[in-house]
Amino acid sequence: MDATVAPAITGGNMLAEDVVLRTTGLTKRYGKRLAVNGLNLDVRRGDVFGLLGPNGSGKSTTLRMVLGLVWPTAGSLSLFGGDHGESDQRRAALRRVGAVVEQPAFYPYLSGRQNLRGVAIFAGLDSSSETHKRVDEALGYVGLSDRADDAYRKYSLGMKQRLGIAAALLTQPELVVLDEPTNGLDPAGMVEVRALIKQLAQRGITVLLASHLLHEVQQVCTRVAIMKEGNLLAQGEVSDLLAAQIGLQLGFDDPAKLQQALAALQSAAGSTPWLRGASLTAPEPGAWIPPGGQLLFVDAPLDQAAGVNALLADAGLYAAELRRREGSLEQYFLALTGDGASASPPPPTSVPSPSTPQQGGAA
Amino acid sequence: MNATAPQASAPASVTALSAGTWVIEVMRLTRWELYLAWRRVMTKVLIILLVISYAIVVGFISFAIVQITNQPVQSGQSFQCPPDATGCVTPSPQEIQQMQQDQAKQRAASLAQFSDPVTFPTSLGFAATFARIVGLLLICILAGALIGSEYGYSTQRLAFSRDTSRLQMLVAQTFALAVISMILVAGMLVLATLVGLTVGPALGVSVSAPSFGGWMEIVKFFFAFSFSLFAYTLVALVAATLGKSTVAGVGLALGWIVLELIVGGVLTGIGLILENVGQNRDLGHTLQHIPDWFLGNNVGALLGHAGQYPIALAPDPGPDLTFARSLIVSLIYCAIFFGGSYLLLSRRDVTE
Repeated sequence: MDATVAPAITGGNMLAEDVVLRTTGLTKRYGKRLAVNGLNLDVRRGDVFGLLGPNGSGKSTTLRMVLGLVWPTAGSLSLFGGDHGESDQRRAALRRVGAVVEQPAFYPYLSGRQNLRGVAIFAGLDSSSETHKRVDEALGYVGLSDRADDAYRKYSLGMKQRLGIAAALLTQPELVVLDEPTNGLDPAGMVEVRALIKQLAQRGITVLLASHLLHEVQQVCTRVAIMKEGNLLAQGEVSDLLAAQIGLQLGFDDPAKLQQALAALQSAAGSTPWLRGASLTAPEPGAWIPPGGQLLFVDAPLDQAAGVNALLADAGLYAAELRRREGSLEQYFLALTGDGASASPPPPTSVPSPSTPQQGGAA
Repeated sequence: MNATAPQASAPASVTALSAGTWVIEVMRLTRWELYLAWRRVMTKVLIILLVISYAIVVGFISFAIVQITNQPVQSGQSFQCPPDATGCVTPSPQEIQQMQQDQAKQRAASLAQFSDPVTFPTSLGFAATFARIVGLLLICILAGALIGSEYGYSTQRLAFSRDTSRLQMLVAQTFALAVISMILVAGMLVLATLVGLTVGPALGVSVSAPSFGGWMEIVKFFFAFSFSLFAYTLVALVAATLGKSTVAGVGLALGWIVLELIVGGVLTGIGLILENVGQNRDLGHTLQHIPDWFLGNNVGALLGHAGQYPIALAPDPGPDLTFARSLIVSLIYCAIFFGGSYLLLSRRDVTE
């Protein structure tokens, strides 16, 4: 009953067995509401893949479709090479998956240990001593050994989340699916969960997580997909997404000088190899807002601050502020979705996956 | 989290450990469902309620028996007229003897009537009558809570996001409900046996061991009795699945029982009136027989057929509801409940 994965060659010289999860035109409609619209995703072996988006963007619905909890309205989903529409293949694939969907769900009147034994039964494991040993190890892994025999209802939110993670790891999965894994956790708990995700990645486990906490995703994920209102806006390596945001940011105390500086740098871009361009941008939330309300973003290496200064000085212009912008998913996301006060430089509308050149585009 | 976790937690194997066959997995799930039922406080409360209410009824019956047994037979003197009474005729000694014999017969009849519920093996029949009212309500509550709470706790996604299929889960839940019904019936019959072997003899009622045929009747009665409860737990199953909650499971199952009683009573009453008035005699007849298609009447008829001879543990179901017909109608109900639950479960998204 185990899924057999044909090592077919896909685009970009990537073997099919390297793709843990692939969705093609995946769509879910609840009545008139389109929850997920033609989603094309590729999650590769070893990825820590983040599904990003605000609440209601379709992240959880996507994860539920991956886990066989929600049936797609259209499109296809392949997990470990198996067709998710086929019951046997879906079951075989789900044996290789561990998941925590939204809030962990357990029987409140059973202890943590008893709940995990139930999960073992659901996962097709027998009640042998080896399974019991696994349960104990999973409890130890998440630091719940001391409270293993306490009723689940007595657990704190953080402990419940940990038990959920223990349940996800119980079957020694190849893919771990986590939906808002740090929801309700205190800062220390968040750090622990992030560390755990990194540990999983180090062990070669593929992680697919959904979160609306962009900072969190940026810290742990290697690849991300950004969703909004059911649509995929972008997909790619985190470093690639952020690359377009890295540059220098200048503020002027006179809007007229800002325009002059923009013109000067744009004209210099043709003759200066390291200067890729310049554009106007809005200040980040909480940052200094210059007269006119706009800043100048210079698409240049961070070590060329002096060079930019020199170009401006040659034109008789002096910036009131010059600082490096490292780039963040938050900025990228806000710019991409058009939300918030930010008007960062126009980012790429999509960063295509190397293997599937057009799949990352907005659906 | 323990950063230096044992390596066993790391992924070591692609193949799931000791994956069993479909049936073995269903058996494991059934055992799990039974374990869940046992671990619920509600189960213990319902068992206690059942035992206590049965004990109260047995207590009342025992009290009545004691009252009847201790009732003195009137002496000949008590039939004589007072000296100053006018118009009073003192019966003759023969008449007094006849009256005393009548009193004794009446008392014996009352004693026999009250002693059946506390005398083995007829105590089994009374326990079944009791459990078909109180036990049925309690098992429907338990079944509704057991199935409905899976939605309340969102624990279904624990199973369905892993290896368990929806059909497996439903079959396991159905098996668990069947086993719970059998356990309840076995418990009630054991309790009734204990009462019949202790309370009855203690009150002076003689107990006779059943013949081989009697034991066979008890075995058939056990299965029919279990099935009669199980059929109603399937109402709770489909109701909890439909309403995705404990409230729906319990409420609709209990509602079904009450509705059958009310609608059956009303139809029979109207039918009788129409038949007796003389107009619409056929319509009256038809109305009276509509309840023959109700689940309760059919499982009741099965119970009647199973408990007829030689002990007569259940009342005669009558000529209309034959064993075969009652069995087929009951099984069709069960198939509809199970099939409906499966259709709902298999097509539905598991959401919050």
